[in-house]
Amino acid sequence: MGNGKRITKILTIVSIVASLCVYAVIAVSSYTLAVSFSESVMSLQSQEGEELLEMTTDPTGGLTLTLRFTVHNPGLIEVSVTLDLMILSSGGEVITEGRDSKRIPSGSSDELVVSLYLSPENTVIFETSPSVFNVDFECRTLLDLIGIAISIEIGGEELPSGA
Amino acid sequence: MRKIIKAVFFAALYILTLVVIPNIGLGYAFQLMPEGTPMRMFIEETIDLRGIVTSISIIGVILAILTFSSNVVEDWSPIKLFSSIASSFVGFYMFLFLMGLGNPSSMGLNQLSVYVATVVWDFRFFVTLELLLLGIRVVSEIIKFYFARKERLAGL
Repeated sequence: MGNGKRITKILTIVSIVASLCVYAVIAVSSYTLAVSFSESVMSLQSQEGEELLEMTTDPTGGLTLTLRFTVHNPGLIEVSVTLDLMILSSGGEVITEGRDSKRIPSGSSDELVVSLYLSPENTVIFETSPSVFNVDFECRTLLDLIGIAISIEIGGEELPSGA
Repeated sequence: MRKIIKAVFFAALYILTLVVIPNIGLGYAFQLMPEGTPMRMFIEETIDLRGIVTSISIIGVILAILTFSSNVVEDWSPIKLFSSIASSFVGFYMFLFLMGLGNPSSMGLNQLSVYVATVVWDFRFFVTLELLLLGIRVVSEIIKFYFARKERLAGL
């Protein structure tokens, strides 16, 4: 076989192997991201208001809001999930914010917990004016190189009862 | 004769996967979701599915023509080089088009607003990988052409 033919054959093999590797990486990470993200969002939707958001008042009049939900990773590789919670006043000012982040190995689940503390003054603002809840949930995989994020803004709604 | 059969086979494969199957799939999906149903309205409001399928079909026809022309000529022909490189670029464009749900200029970073929620997906790394593959394919085609041409000149 000539030198040119051998090089051409090697190039063809390299090109095919590289394509197969890239498409395998794309398939595995896309699948992991899709199932983890959809399962987590469904878990967030299925939880009742009271079990999702817990409110405790301290003797000084301050308020602690705790948002917790379970994130599942039925995918094939590890995912990293981040939950950001922000409460804004009707004027758009940030009253309080919090974040939690976890790395979840394939096939397991973990709980994300974000606690927000409202000082007595902020509690008054929070209770008297319509506040906006900003929930950001992000799911990344493949060494955090790809990801999907959802941002939900809930404004002027009544807080869950029973708190 | 063998060359023509191979060329027709690969061209038909592109027509089948990028023209026939997506159009049948879309027709079937719309049959399952008649006009006015919430799912159909949601899809129509957020994504131009019909536009995406039409564009994929056009890309499929272009790829079929390029594949046919690259398979029907000899390896040393400049037509083969041009068709192969052009088909790699068209394939890359289609990848960007699919990653951007019809918006190739997003380069894998997309945002979709649905009522009170905003969904952002970041697939820029996939675009980088595909770009790398495009480079490998183009270089490989040029080298293949170079050796085929050299061999032909030596044989004359």
